[in-house]
Amino acid sequence: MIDKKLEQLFIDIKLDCLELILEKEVPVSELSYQLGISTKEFYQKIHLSSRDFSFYLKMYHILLNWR
Amino acid sequence: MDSDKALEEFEHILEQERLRLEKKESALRKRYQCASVLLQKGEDDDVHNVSGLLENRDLLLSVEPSLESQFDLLQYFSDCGLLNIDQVTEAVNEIRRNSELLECVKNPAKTLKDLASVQKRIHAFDTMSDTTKANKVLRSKLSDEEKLAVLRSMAYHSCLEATVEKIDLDTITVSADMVSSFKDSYSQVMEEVNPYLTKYYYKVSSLSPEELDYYRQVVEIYDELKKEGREQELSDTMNYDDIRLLLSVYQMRVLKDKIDGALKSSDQGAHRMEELREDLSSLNSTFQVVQELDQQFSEEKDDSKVDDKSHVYFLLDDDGKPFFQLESFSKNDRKKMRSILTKLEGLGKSDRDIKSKPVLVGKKFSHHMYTVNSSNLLVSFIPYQGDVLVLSFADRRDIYDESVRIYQREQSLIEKSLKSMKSSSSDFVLSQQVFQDSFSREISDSLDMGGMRR
Repeated sequence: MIDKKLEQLFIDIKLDCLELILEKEVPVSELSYQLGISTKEFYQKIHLSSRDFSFYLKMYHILLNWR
Repeated sequence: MDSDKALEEFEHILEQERLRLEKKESALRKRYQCASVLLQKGEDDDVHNVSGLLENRDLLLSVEPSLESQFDLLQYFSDCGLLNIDQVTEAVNEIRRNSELLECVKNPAKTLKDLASVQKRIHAFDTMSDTTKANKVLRSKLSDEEKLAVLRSMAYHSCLEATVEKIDLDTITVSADMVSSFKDSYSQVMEEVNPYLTKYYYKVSSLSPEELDYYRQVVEIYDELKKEGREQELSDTMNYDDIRLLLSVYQMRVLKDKIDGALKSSDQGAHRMEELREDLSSLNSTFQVVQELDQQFSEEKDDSKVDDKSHVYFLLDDDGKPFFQLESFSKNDRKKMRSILTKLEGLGKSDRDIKSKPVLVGKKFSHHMYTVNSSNLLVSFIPYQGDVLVLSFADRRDIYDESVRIYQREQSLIEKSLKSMKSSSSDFVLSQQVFQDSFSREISDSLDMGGMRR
């Protein structure tokens, strides 16, 4: 049960982030710079479904405030 | 027509659509994975990234099975340790120039976007509301009779699940004394609560309700995992006590606003009074949590006050040289180096300060690496027991690759340096002293010369 909850939480926040990237047309290079990682690392983290929740929370905060 | 049969038919249509989306998601995922492999650059001893291609042989062959012989060839030469010969280059080129695989690397960002959009649609399937479902029924290929039968069945099942809310007929008014006594208790609690709201609320006020909800959920999950001794599964850079404190402060503010609003309202019925008492009790218990966490953090801070400046050490090779070329930096950059080093010293002994800096390297390494910047010049470093080990200085475009390269090649030297930092071994301290003296001198000299030229 807890594993499912955790999985769902990661999916939800990841989808929210990707939706904001698309909606606000955020350049991935700029976003990854603000996250303190390279673009390659960014794609890898997204692709490998990183289990680092702080990464997604930080990204979500940046994206919500993106102008 | 039988309603349940029509509903079954409709569920089947939905299932088919879901399967179609899952198939699409799988194809896009595969395409994106192929792009990641093919775009990955190799190391110096494997410029074509043969090892990467071989590791993902099955994935790439699933897109283009005709490349099997090229992979066999790569495997053979890789086993022989011959990665930079013409045959390998040819086989790699044949793989990389294959039209199916070229299609994959065309636009990975677009593939990622498409993937996200398909995942979103799948997610929508799992969380579909009755209204959305009803709209889908109306837009489906079912006949009008079948559509009506499905909607009828859905409405029937929905009625079965619905619960009737208990209507509260509490209309008894409360006396003015009761209200006044409540206000007194509330003021007393708020006298203690307000300093904590002033101290912490600003940290949480910039967060949106959606973010707070995520914080709440992740803390809940963390607590559940902790009960099972599995909290390591969420072992990232977050401090869960910090988050718990912020959430509690936010909760205190919500309760305060709710009580203030209710006290201003003209509705002072007994049921409302009861609700207010419950809110005040929650406010009190949340306050206890905040107070405890604040106390805990204050004690940690006191411990770190003994020597709150970090010592900055440099990763040096056997000849006492650093892993960056000072001469390759401009006068302006050297000036920035000085301010960066001051920043590093200011990180202090508390890990919590360091955690607020951006993480450069994740869990796959034994140590986290961080960066501090001064405009475009960045320094990468490893924080260790309140001190820092500087790996390199570089431009923002190069810092990541540069640092990872050093980290991977010099792992044993890094471990040795960290151990020496801990034990303050005399050889290590001496070599650091010698280097730092010459480093400071070179920075100062170049700045003075710059001044004279001006």
